[in-house]
Amino acid sequence: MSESDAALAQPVSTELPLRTQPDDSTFDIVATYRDLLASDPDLTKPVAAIESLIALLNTVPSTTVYETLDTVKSHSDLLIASVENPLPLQAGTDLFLQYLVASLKQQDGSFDAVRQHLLRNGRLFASRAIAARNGIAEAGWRFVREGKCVLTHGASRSVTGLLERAAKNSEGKFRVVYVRDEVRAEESDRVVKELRSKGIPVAEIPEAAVAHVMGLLRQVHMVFTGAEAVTQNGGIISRIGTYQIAKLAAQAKIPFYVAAETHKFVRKFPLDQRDIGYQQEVLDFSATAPSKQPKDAVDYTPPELISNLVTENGVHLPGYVFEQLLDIYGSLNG
Amino acid sequence: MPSVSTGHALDLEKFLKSLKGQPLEASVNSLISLLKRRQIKGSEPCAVATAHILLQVVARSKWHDVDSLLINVSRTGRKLVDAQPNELVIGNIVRRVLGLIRDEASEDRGDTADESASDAPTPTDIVPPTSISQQWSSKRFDSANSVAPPARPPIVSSYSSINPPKSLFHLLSTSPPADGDVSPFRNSGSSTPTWRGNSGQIHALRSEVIDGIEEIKDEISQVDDQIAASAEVQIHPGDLVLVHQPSTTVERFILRAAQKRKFTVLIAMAPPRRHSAETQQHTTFRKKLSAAGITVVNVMNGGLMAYMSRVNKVIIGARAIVATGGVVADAGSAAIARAAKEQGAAVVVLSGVYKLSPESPFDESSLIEWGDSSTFVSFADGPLVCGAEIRTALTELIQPELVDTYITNLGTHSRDHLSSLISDHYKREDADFHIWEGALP
Repeated sequence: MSESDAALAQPVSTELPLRTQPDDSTFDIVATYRDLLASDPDLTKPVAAIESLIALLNTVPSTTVYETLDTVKSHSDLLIASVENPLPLQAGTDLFLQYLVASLKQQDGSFDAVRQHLLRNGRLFASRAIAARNGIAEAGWRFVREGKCVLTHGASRSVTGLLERAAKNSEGKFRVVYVRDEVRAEESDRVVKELRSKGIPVAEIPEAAVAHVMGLLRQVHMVFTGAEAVTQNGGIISRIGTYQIAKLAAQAKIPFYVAAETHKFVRKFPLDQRDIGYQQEVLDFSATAPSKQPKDAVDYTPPELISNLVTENGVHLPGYVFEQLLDIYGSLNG
Repeated sequence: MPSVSTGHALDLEKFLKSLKGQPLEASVNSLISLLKRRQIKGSEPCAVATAHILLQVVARSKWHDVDSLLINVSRTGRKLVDAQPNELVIGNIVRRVLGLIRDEASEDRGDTADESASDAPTPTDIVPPTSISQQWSSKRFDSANSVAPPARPPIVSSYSSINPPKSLFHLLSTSPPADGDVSPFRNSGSSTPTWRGNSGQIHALRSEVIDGIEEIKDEISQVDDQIAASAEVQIHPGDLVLVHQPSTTVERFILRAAQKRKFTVLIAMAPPRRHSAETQQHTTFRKKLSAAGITVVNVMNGGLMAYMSRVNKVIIGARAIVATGGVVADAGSAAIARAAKEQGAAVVVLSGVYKLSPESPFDESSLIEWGDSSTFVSFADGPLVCGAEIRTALTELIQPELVDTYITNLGTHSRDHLSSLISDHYKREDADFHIWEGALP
């Protein structure tokens, strides 16, 4: 991907290195990001954002360090402004920027080396991010033992990957309760079909039945969900409905596991449901017309409700996120 | 079973004595059968026996490079874990030794390549938070520019270059993706080609690893003392402290506090079993406490809630701690911990770091050890023996939410801090040694 972009972009970029924002107009980062997401169904949003920024580095000439950082920053902002829910992208762009800054701090004058490394290995990063998903499956499949029953919802690829990994070991010996989302019937059908094709017995239930099903003693042993972003306190921003499932699970004392890659960790500390990083209009009061619902709505699940995070680095407590973010950012004033 | 408490100590001693006289294979087998028959039981004896046998493996087994040593150690370790999977400490010690070997090997290799000063990994020292960024930077510029890194010696001590980096930057770094399916041997093998055939270095490595294992053994023997050192901080004058079937660690902790403080100790006891030796043990403990001027009250487990409202602290000795902070302890402790939580009393868990296991409790029921039900029902009681199934849980898992503080020989920790203790003491590639070993020839 980045190679082809490079080939197209090089002639443009060898023009005079004036400081008048040379290539901003020619490079459309938003379009690049959308193309990337559309072209590869396996790509997560943070990684797609990183890939787009690498494509951006390809087009701008290697000028001064600060100019490059500026360009990356301004394009990150553009990219983030273009989507409704900024957190997943922010995880990617922050990580990328911090990587640039940290590598510059380490060794003076080798900015070119960093740049070359990034340009050359664009695809490697993507494949590594996808490999992280297998890492999650490896780290967490042993939770799903014989005779267990897992409740899940949404279409997290980490979770389906983990369940498929578990099915490899004990096919047909554990069961899955899938919470259907009638607004996304098609997606629910797809996930259920995928799971059944691996020989996993699946029971589909409507969202309204979750509390009842969890109340059936010893019928559900654990909940697995994915996440769009993992916040720095160890909570998750995830598909709407996750929060209520987590609350019900906590009430029924059922462990609630989150399967998420570490590149979804983001410097954001949500205080409550109102503070999810952007304005989301779930309440649409109307006396006449039917209410409108936002597309891809999310909610925030606080860390108290999460038993464990299953990442490619192993199974961790929610506090792990804080440690990791502190490790690379040095401060947490995201 | 009156002789059990002295019996298994004797068995451990006998086993340790026998190590010198017999070939390695025989020692391993005799330890396996001792573990299986529960003649060596309890965390400390198991840890000591494991450390001793691994020392023998390092000293006496045939190996010509780091890989074969790692294979020898993990193969023996796996046999021991299989023999007694309930004792998590066995796996912990094996992981510690594997990590030790990796550290020593990479240290020696680093000495020849550049001055990567990784200090000797003494098991007790707390590795400072390593700056992983420095690690990747030096590696990256090595490969990108093929220039030796100037000045700035990497101060990475615990995470050698063969360790998969765990920073978030891993996604963007140059090192090849080290994912779950990478064999832990491949890394060390490819990175230590200089090892093969150099007998001098092998000799040096052997003695270094043996020194390291000796240090682990020292650590195990000092654990009780070091834990007891924080007793005065934890126990205040006038406290009402409840202990449950105190282990030696707990006893020493209380006795140390008793030297300086006046407080009251409640000893919670399981209902008397037939031929129980425990009351015997606690008599000496009680005598020592009385001699120090401490009031001792014996309570039965059953009426516990009645006392709990007055108790300030509950002190529990752990058999093992799992990665999530759950505590494997004597049966009955979990109910006490829950009662304490209910009444707002602090629950303090005492445990050596060597009991802290990197394993997650994927299957909690597998951690519980079932005991001999003949302590409850005599075989003479025909109808009961035939008609009823009687099970005695010897251990149970205390949920991590119920525990307030963990005290180890390294100090006082909260639940969230356990993960960094784990990463300081174990290497990631060794975490699952008992599983991946199965795939080896």
